[in-house]
Amino acid sequence: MKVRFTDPSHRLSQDLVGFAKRLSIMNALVMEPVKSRALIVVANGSPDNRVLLILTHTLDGEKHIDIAFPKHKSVSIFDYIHRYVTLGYEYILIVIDQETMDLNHIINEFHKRVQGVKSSKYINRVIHSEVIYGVHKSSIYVVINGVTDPGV
Amino acid sequence: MWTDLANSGITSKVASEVSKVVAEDFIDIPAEPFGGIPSLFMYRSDRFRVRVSDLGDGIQTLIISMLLTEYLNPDIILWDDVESHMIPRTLQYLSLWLSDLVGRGKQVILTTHSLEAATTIARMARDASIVRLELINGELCSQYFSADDVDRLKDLGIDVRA
Repeated sequence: MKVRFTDPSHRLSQDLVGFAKRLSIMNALVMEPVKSRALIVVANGSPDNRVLLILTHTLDGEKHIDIAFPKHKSVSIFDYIHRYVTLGYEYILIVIDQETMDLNHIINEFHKRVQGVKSSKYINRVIHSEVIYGVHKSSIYVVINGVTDPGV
Repeated sequence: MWTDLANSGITSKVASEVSKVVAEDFIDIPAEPFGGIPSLFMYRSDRFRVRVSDLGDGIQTLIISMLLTEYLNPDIILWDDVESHMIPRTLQYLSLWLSDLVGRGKQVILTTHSLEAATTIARMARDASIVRLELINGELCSQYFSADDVDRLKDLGIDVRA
């Protein structure tokens, strides 16, 4: 797996290029303007971007996936998922940090804020949902990083 | 040609317009020899002359473009890399001038790699759209955006150029 930046001028994209260069894994990055069917949205910035780069490099394949670093952080990104859906991505992975929030709170925020949710299930820190918005349809996966009890 | 331009009042009009974006009071653009070579000068109200080629590249582009457009009076204007060498203030003035041209019935098609140029012009020029062209499997596809769309996508970490 390789990653392609949807905003190459973003500071986290530039951070990732420097990080890949230091680790000599530049082959995990795709520079060509070829859009993927899948998108990773990193809702909490660094070091999640670096972890994802290492994971994609470890998976080491020819396919690539787009990666976006939105201005909207944590659960506030749920308000904008439909915009990614309208861009034609078939699979969208949202990576957010649990931080001090309760897991149920995050799940509730997802259902409250995301537009066009047709079906949804939650298993092991992952919310999987089918979203239809206009003529576009996407499978959304929300991965929640953290510990079950935020107090630990 | 230059006599026609000067006599039609275009040179003085362009000089006056360009003064709006530089801290000078230009009143005309005469063509005079410089070292035996015909050169364009910006003529100030205090009779001081500034050679056009001594001005910044962005202003030079603006002056020549305005002179040519006003003289040739084309129906369609195609302009590649419109933002080249232009500072934001010049770009802003250019947007207003292009909007004026559209208001006069001209069709203006610009290309740029600059999001700042695209959104600035799209916000100021009347009826402007931003069109992204993309080659997908050998087919040239287009997608239309407003300046606000481009900004909103940027907030979502999507650069329409990428």
